[in-house]
Amino acid sequence: MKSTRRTRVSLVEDDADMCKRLAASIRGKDWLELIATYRTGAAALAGLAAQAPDVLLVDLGLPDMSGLEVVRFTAARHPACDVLVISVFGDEANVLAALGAGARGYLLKGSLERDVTIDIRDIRNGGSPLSPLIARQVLRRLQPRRPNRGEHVAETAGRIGEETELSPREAEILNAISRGFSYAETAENLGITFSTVHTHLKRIYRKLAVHSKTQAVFEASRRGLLL
Amino acid sequence: MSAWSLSLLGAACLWIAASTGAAAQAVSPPSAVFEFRAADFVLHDSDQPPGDDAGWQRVALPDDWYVSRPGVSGVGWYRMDFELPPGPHSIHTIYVPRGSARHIVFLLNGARVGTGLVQGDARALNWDAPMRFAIAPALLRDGRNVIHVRVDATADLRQGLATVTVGPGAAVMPMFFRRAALQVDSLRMFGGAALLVGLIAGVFWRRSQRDPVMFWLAITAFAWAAMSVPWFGPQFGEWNRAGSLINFPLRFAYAAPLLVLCLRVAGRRSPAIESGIWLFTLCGAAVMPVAGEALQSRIITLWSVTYLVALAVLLVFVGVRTGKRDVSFRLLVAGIALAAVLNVFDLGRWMGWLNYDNLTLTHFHVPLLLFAIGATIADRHFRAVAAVEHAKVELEHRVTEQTREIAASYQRLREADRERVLTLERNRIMADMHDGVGSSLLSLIGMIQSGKTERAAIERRAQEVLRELRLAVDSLGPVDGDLGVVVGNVRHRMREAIENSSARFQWHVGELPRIDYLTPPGMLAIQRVLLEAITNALQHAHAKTITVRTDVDHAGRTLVIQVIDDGAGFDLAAVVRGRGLDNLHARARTVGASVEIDSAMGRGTRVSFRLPLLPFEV
Repeated sequence: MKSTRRTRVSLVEDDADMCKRLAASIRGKDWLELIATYRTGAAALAGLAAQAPDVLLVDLGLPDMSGLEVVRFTAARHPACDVLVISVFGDEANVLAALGAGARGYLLKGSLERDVTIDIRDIRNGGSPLSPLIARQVLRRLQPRRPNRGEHVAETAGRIGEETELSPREAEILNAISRGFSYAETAENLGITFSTVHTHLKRIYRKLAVHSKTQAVFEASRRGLLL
Repeated sequence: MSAWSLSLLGAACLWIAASTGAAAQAVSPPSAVFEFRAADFVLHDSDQPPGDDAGWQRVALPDDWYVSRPGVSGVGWYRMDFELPPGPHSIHTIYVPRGSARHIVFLLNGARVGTGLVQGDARALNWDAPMRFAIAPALLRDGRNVIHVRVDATADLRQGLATVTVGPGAAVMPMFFRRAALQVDSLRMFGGAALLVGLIAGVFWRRSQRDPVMFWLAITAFAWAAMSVPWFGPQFGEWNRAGSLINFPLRFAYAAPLLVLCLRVAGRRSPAIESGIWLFTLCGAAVMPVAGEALQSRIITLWSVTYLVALAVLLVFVGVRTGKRDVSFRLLVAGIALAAVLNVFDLGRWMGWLNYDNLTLTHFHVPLLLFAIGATIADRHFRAVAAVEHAKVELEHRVTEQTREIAASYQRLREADRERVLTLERNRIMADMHDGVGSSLLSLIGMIQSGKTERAAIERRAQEVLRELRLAVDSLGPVDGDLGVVVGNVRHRMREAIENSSARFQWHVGELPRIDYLTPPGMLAIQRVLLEAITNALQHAHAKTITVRTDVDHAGRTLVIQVIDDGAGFDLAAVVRGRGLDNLHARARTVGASVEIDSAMGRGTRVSFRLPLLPFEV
């Protein structure tokens, strides 16, 4: 980290043991600073309204609300903040929902050998590793749509298209990840640098968040909630 | 509705009363028209008028022999005279409102007049039709003119001479035409209409529900049509030959059908009564032609009275019994009631109680009857249309209901199916948990309880259990047969183990074909085989390089996934088949694949997983 300032981290986790372990890991690094820990969603929302961390770790299973609420709130309030979701299984349904809500990645609960700070470093550098299953789902969701016969393409679709559709290169990267290749191997196979892969991934995350927003708008207008 | 039919009935009665009145009353004619209310009469069977000494007697006109000389049958002469002023004379006409005799001849001043006219042929037996005879001006004299009428008649058949009127044609002809229209044209008109309506009713009866009321309406209408036929004939004389044969049907043809109709309208189907009616009618029709005139008279009287009484009784019966009171029914009852009333009137004239000049009226009930038939047909028609409409609505309703039911049962089926799939999946996961995670956790507990196992080994075992669980969760995700993701996911789940190992990892996974039949259990099985192979290479082989590669054979029939290490290897022959290797084979078999292990001491290990790219039965 070239930044002279330490990376400020906040933690939202209801499990005391887990919370303690994560806090210990973070305090062990001099480039990280734990500025707040919240045990409930409500406390987190209140605290985050007041101060913005650089990285937020959120457990999805909170006692009073879904962690997704916190993710959504933070992504809207502090776009610069990197949100990491803590998941037991890293299963694609939860992770995709988190990414759609604006999270930049996830870390698996119970990775004892692995220091959580590596994930935090990863995300500050562009994003935590995507699992092949999730890469494939993202690929499917953001694949450029060829309008079907007779399908009415809304006027807004074209405008939003660029913001939500994958470029060919992004699709290539996701395809490689879905087959199990690491970022480094992907970069090497595609003849690009490691950081370019990260740049693409960042863009993919943003598209995914925009996509879920427009998807929500589309759903709402289809159901007559809007317009 | 009854008001309407009543007013119709009233109008008909007024019309009839007005016309009969006009004919019966001695309308004071213009000076030149003579209406004879009396004449000289003598019974004298000769072709020429009898002389003044023949014994003429003064009689009143009209002269109904049944009243004035009962039982007499033969030739009688009437004589009457009138004065004409001097000067040229116009064509004169003799008019008689009813020509009812076997034979009538008119003579003016000794010369015979008016033969050959259709309705005025003196030879004809004109049942009830009026007569007229034109008198050529040359036959008329200044001063006194004498008319002689030769009448060949039978008292029993109510024959005789009606009122005689003579005058200029222009004044007398309208009287004839009015009478002819009321007595003859009306009957023809009703006959034609009855034929038409009868046909329609018949067709309707045949084509629709075969309603008995409709049938008898048609038969009654046909009877009236048949009764009018003789009135269309060119010469009444033609029919005269059939005289006594058609005399009965001509009077009573409609009676039996009308009575049966009454019964049917009342909703009664009584074979006994109906047979009685038909038998009675047949008797009359059979006896009439062979009977003498006296007997004919009695038959006509008896049958008329009987039919009339029966009609009256049935009318009351209909009124009491029947439940429905729609327009067609009221019209029908009105028609039958009118028939009864008019029959009474005609019977009164027949019996000599009423003026002999009066019209015969029975057939005037026919229009009401035809209206009733028309209304019945219309009623049936609209009811049928309404029924069809109702049936359509009903059908639509049922179709909608059926559709909803089908949709509901489809929904239920789908839910049941989903439930079934869920149950299968749940069972699978339960079995998986039991055999995989469950047994792993048990062995982990055993390790901890024994207290001999190192902490690192326990931790590693715990990590394996967690990974096992994660793989199971992954296998539930949708992969759409994308084998590349399945293979890729193994590496992802082993990331920590791979990163912590000193071996170099080479990943050569190309584009793999889609395998549509790849189920979650299949996916899990493949992942476990790879996991096992890679774990073995990482933990036991001490390899420098571990390579995972995928290939599809040339024919495109088999997918080969290989895990190759350059580690220690082992002697296949020496190794007792351990649990791990057995597991590999067993798991491969569940997806129809095979595992081949190639190794030798110091030459590394190659595990080849071969999956046929064809559907298999799990």
